[in-house]
Amino acid sequence: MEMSSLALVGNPNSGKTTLFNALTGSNQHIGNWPGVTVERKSGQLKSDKSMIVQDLPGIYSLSPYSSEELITRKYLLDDLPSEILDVVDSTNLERNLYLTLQLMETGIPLLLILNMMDILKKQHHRRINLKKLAYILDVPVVSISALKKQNLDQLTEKIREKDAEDHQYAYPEYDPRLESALSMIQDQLTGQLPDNELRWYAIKVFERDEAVSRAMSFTDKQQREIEATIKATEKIFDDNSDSIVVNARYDFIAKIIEMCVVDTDDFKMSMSDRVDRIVTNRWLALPIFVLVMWAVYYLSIQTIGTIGSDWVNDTLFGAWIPNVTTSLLNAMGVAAWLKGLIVDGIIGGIGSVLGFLPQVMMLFLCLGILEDCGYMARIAFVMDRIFHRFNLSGKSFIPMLIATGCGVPGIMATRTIESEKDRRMTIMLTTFMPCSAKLTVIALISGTFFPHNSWVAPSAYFLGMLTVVCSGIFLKKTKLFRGAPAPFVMELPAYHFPKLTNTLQSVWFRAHAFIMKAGTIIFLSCVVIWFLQSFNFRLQMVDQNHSILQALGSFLAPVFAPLGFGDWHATVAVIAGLIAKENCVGTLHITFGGSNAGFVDALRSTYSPMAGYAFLAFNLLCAPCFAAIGTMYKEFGDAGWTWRAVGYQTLVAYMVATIIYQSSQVFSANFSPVGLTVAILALGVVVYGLFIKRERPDLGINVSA
Amino acid sequence: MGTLIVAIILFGLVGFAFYVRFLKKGSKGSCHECADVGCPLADRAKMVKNKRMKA
Repeated sequence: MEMSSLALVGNPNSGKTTLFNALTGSNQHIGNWPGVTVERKSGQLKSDKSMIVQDLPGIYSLSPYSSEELITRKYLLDDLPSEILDVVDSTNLERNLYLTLQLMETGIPLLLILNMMDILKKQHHRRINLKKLAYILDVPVVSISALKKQNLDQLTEKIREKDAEDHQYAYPEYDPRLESALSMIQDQLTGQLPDNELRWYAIKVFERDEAVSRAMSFTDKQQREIEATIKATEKIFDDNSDSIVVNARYDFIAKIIEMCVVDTDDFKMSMSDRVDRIVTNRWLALPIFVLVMWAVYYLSIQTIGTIGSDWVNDTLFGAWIPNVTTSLLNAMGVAAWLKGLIVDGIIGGIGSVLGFLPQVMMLFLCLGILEDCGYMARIAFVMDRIFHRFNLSGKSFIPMLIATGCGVPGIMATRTIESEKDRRMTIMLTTFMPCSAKLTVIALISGTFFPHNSWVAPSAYFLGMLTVVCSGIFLKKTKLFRGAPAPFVMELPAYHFPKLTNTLQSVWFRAHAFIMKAGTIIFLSCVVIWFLQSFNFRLQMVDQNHSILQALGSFLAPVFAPLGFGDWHATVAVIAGLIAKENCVGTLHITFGGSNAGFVDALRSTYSPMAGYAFLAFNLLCAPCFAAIGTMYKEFGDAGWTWRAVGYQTLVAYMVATIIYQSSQVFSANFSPVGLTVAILALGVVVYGLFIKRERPDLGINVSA
Repeated sequence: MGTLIVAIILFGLVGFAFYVRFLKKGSKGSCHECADVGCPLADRAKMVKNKRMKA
């Protein structure tokens, strides 16, 4: 059976994957494109198994910059699919048609699919004349809604019709002066390429595309003639060759829109636009964001979430489960050491983590509502404005927004950053943002030491952001990372009311993942920690103050003395936090022991409130968990950079926590000379890095001995 | 006897947790599913639908 291939191409969020799923059903094969970690999906058309649909990554153009663009370009030019299925968001025709024109230039037969017609119909103010569009572009056009599965039969019919016929489509014709130049370049290419590819390569040569120019074999005479043609055209248009082509395409698109699209309102601000005028306002955006995050943390950590957490900590894991378990184990005549492991180690450790589940779920709900309604996407836009003032790019903030869920996908999201320097810097800074695991530490510290202060929990979030900004300012001045910030273009989704069922389901998925993590990694950690704190190096069962854990913790504890928590309990909690940040809480509970109320009292009597806050700051900013470190290593591809990142994060955490704690000690006139010296040194480094160090200008002078 | 039974169950669970988290094929050593950890830029409805389809 002869197989034909259909390339599914389109802008990101145009509905390609939804259409792909509808066309192929479960007949899919998922893998990776060679050499990159972009997912590759292909599947057989449900109605005709001889047709393979290749879902290509979403792209805005066929330029050779991002890995997604390169993959699509390579596939179209080398693999030569039988047909391109160009999926276009009909509510955003102007932007989507740019890619359509580029695809048409490749000479591969194209079927234009206008998706999201159901949304366009609801908008009422715009209509598209499909017949005129098909006439102007000389390609078949089908309108569908992939999500609502409308008109897919017609689409499938059109696909099979095209497979049967042999029709050569005309290319979009641009400005006659440009067409003249392209024609001259095409003459130079004749003989090197098939006729239907001449136009695309001529345009690329005209744009001075390096990859294409390298692939062509021109004589010196041909090179000179091509260069002369390009220079002459640039003089006529008074512009660069690639800008000439871009403008030509947009002029063509403007003609198409004028002829095919009917707008009943010239300009009407949507509800989203009106809200954005306030929410992304130059002056109001940041205060609104601060207020929103304060409200989120206030609701989850201080008020509603606390009600549930108190019951889980004090009643469920504080009384019911330990009492029932103890009675059962006593009845079975279980040995004391095993009882201790189960009740104090496992139930105490896991219970202290799960005790925060209600607060964490409340936080998931609040953040989920913000994400679902479209507000969180605006934050990236707002932060770009701020970041640019400090030579950073808002594009770097996207992975950090993602890292508020988990640092691992946040670090992986840095792949969208083209500049290698910016990418490395973003990887280093991403985990400064508090992830969902760190929420337990935030909840513990704010609930134990600052129960009536609603600013402590949100301050952790802002401390992370401030550290990102300050680190970015400093790192951008260094040789390793300096350079102009990348431009940032992003699509803001329209605001919509969050669907409660979707949000609640998402909260359940995240809570389930939290519980599963507690049932596996935290469970294993609690067992190991209990053993280490119950046995000495001779494997004899001892009091915790003579245990392996105490010895290890005491060895490292003096390092944390300037931070206010220089004892073995906090030290081992920090180390255990490298496995999973929730372990900080579980480890502290195991080492201090007792019921929840006893645990809280023990913390308050051992550490001052500011020492508690310094502990929070340190764990928030220091090296992330092993999973995130492993991901950093994969993304850097280099152990040296990974160690640099871990070292930098830990150093920053140490300096920040020291400054916080020692400042409080100065105010209470209760400081130690060593601690104060360390704090002054740390402050000096921060001030130098932010305000004194200058970025050395690149004079372009090469000096060699 | 009680100690032995409980110890076997407990360490069996330890082994199972270790296997599920680190050794099982397709196990997630770290959280990376958007539906599990949340993503401010992903379409929540799609994430929920994908998660249901996988389950």
